[in-house]
Amino acid sequence: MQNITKLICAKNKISYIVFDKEFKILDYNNTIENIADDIFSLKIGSDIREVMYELVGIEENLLALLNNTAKESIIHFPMILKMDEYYDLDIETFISSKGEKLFIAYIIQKPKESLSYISMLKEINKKTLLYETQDKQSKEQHFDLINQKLLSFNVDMDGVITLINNAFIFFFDLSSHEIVGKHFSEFFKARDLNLNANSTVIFNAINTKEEVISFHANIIPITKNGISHENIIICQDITYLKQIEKELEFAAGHDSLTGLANRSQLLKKMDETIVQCDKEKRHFTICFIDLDKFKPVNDNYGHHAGDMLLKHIAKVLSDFVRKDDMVARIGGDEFIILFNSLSDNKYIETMQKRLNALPPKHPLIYSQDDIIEFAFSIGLASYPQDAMTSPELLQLADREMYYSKRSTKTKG
Amino acid sequence: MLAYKIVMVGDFGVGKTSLVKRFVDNSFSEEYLSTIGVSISKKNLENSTIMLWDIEGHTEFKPIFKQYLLGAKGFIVVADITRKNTVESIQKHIELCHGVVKDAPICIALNKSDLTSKTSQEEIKNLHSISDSIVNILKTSAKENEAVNEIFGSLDKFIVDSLGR
Repeated sequence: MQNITKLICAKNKISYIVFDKEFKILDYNNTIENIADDIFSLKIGSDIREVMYELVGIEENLLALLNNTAKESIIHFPMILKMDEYYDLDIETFISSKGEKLFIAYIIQKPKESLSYISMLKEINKKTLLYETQDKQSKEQHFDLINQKLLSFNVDMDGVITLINNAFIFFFDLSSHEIVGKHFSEFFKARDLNLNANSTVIFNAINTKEEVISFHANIIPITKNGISHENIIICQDITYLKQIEKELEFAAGHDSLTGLANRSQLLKKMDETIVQCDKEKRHFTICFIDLDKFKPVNDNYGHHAGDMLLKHIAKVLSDFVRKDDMVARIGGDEFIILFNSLSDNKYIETMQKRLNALPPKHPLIYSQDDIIEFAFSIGLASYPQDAMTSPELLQLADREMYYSKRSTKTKG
Repeated sequence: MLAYKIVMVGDFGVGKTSLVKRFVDNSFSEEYLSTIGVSISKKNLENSTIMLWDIEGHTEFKPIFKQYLLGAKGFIVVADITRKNTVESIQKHIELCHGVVKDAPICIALNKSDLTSKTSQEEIKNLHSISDSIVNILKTSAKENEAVNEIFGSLDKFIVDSLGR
């Protein structure tokens, strides 16, 4: 190697190492010590592959370079990281002063400017990875949220679960291996356990809070070569619909102001009680209650006070009756009490007295200054001695109440 | 002793460096430091010495520098099992490897198996059909040290056996 080349290398901080076709080291400059992979092997005559790992595996390419059969006249490896520094490695051939064709490897340290470029690249990659990961996570969270109440699972043709989604695991708070392989009926109750493809079914399941949750399930077949081999079942939580259904059912049979049963609910209950009484050979009594002078309450205190009074009376009457009795509001200021199993005249009279004693004991304290007193007239009718049907009993009790009210007025 | 070169290939951020660190030093770091250029590590095994080339991963803006693959006796193609796009890139990486070293044996490491994966068993099975040169496909976790020695070991065994023939 010419001295001038050595001088250029020294001036430009380029490390070099010369080796022959047997890969034996023939010469090198001092700076090579900083980048040798194994410094103990760095000596004249040792195998260069022990010193520079980059050369392991490229022997054929080197020999092609030596024999001028390679496409390129140089082997170039850029950006090799050694001891936190980056180097470019260039290997080429030259003819020695003895006329022998040898290899020379130049190892050129990357300038500081390129290091800032490297840092920038690292930062970009880090941010891109973070973005990709976060984006994936946020997408997963997004779909997990959507699917939290959308359970889905696959069953084979025998109804054995083969696959489940995260919502399924979340709902039952079980691990995948505790679910997969079991029959779906261990988790869901249904009227019909036959899963007919392309049909829908209502499932009930118990969640971790021991609540019964209703699902509307769609059964979708998976076919292979035209033959169904599995079904995907997608379950949507419809508990809220069941709740709405219950509320509508309640609203249809109840008075919205007082929460008491309304006329239709009362008639239904009376009809049921008639059937029951016939079966058990017993009696029951209804009591028609009509408020006295309710209109002046509305006129003097306003409709709000009137509503409050009706609610108050509903509460007073509800507290008065037994568990099996029913209080209903069938009109503006008209209430009915159905006394289950009450027919003996002695008990009826006692009840009537106690009922009449209620108003003076329970006036409505509307405000600090306004205490609203009330009174009512009552009329009774008993099954079966007074009438045989619910409408007839109501009509009779109403008439009795009317007589009672008129006699009170006459007396007054 | 037989010394040869293996190159780690894959998209950026799939865990090539973590697999090498786990295999060579039995260490792991949660911090992600993107590899730029190439870092070469040596691992002595019972019957061989492997020079592991941990090269810069493929990104959308920067392809893999082919020259790094020169002279490799085998490749470990790495994908992040939680990032579907990196699994889909495996075929391209194998084509690249075979473009430089024809029919070189390849092991596929589906890394980060400790995390929840959306890659199905069927997709994993289908990877075998990409090339006849695929020696092994394993789900690996550099973090949990799962199947790391196995993936390098199976490629080493194949190479040592084939070079010994």
